Amino acid sequence: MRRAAVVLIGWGLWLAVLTCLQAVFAPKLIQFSIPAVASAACVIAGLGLWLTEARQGEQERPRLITDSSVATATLIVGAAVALVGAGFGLWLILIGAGIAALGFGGVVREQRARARTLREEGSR
Amino acid sequence: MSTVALPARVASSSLASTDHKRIAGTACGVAFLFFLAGGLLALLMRSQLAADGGVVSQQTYNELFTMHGSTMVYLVIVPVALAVGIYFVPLQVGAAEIAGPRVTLAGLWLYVCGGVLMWSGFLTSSGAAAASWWGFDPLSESIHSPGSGMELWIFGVMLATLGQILWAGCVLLTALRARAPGMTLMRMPVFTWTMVVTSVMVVFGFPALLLALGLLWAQRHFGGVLVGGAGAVDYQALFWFYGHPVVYVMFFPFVGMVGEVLATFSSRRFFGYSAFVVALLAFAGLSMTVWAHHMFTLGVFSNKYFALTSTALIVPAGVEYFDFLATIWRGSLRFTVAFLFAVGFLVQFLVGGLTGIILASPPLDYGLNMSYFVVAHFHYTIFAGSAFGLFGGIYYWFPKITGVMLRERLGKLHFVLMVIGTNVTFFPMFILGSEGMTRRIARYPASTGWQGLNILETAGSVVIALSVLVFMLNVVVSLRHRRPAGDDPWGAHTLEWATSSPPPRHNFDALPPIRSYAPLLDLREGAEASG
Repeated sequence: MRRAAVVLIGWGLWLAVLTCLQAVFAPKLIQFSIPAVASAACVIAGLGLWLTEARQGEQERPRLITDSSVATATLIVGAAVALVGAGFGLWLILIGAGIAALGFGGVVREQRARARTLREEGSR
Repeated sequence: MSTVALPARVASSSLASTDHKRIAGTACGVAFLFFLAGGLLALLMRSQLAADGGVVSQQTYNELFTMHGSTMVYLVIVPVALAVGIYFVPLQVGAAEIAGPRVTLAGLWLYVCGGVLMWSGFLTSSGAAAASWWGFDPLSESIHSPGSGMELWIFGVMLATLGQILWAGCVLLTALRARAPGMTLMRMPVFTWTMVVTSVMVVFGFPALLLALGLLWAQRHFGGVLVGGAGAVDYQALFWFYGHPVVYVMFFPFVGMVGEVLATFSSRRFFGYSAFVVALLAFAGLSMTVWAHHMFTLGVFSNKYFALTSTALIVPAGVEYFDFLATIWRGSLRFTVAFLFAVGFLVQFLVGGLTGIILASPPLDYGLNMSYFVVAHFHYTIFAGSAFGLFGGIYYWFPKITGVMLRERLGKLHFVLMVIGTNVTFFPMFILGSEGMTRRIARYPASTGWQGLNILETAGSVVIALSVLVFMLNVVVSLRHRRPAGDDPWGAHTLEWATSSPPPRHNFDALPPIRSYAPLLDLREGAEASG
């Protein structure tokens, strides 16, 4: 699986080469910096994936398949309402934040239930 | 990998399901509604131009083309492209589910909220956004676009784009980290590879749009962020770093679908797989470095560099076309509806691609920039190309998703109407653009003599609408009078056809051995060889 990281690293380097090619054409700073940031981010993400895979190895892990998550939907709707509030007033931000807090609590609860189920499966 | 089923504590519904197949299905359903709404706006615009003004006001026309473009790009083609990946990438790599199912669900809700916000602009007193799908600065600033319609557009696009970034991240991680034993990188199906490069472009290109819109919002409220001409150029630079890669995000997944369809219905192994993958990765890198060709006429960036990279796209595109043609060459062809749409994609996208070479040349672009020639070019790539690829994918995978076959006769009627409608609508735009008709105008002088071709285009758009109605009829008839599809009605090559139709929640009960990018074809060939 570690070879998968090569896709990101290699592609990021390819983008970096194309970006550096601009040097021949006297680029403006913004024209150079935007793809440079993107290529650097891609290489860093690839390295991160490489290290993660190296740490976790190829070991088999039990996997939990969840059915639904109302809390996730609630969290996102709340966050969206709060974001829109930035343009329409504090009252909307507060309503959105309240909904998002409710959703966040639900996500935490779901995560705990998930961890508990995995623990129980592991001890069986 | 062992799997544990969590008992459902909450009534499962499509809107809260973490099953990647249901999330993708819901996303496609929502996108289809937006497609109908965006198409309605297009019909209104076409009516306006056929009647040479008089149907709607200039301001309303501005809102129509802004929301048509925004809807089709942000809410239809990109989400559908990613949603098909959400559905099929886990199946094609033999995974039990997508990486990050909750994040995928969050992406769905961000997308839905974004779409609702964008369209709610029509309910405000100032009307919907009217500064085009790229939100021109300074036209989109508060002094030129006052009111909440533009605000809602900014927030809507940001939310929808954030959702798409989350989706792409999940698809990418699924392909890179959740593959079944034996499914090496160079055994991933061509569609999965196209989704990998698409996802990479979304994850590392789309954040530029979030930054651009964040700056635009700050400029509208506080000022001093995008100052003067330099500010406008900076906004455009950030926007087009998103805005050109997104064209390929709306292209690559459909290339993958067409590749799968051509190989299956030619009864041949996909030709030149390794060259295709390399070309795809090179193509994706190049397509991130062509964005300033949209700004040739500004004359502030290195036109030579961007002309060079834009023209260089011909090389990987040529490799892909060669692979497609070689795949069907001397194949045992089956002219199903899916195959017809795939061939339609190849032929019509070529028109869009070749006219792109013209626009990649700065001297020619100076003459054609902002004309209907450009409108014709991108509609040939996105509608005549990608939409045909998408319909090819729909006819191909519908039996897997629903367990029933679509009607072939109605499908062929759909195809014929769509070919006629598409070419009658968009080809005259090349002529009008060459004659100097500027895009985004609500009326034109009668002395130009453009009305005849505009009436023809409007007639074509009605034929497209008819073809969509035939498709909807086909879906309804096929679902009501079901003809069971079985697991693999086409004799396909990839893993998704090794499970039931529709697939179970955990995708596979058992996986066949994976020794190439066409494991089911390997099985069949093995069985034939052993007698």
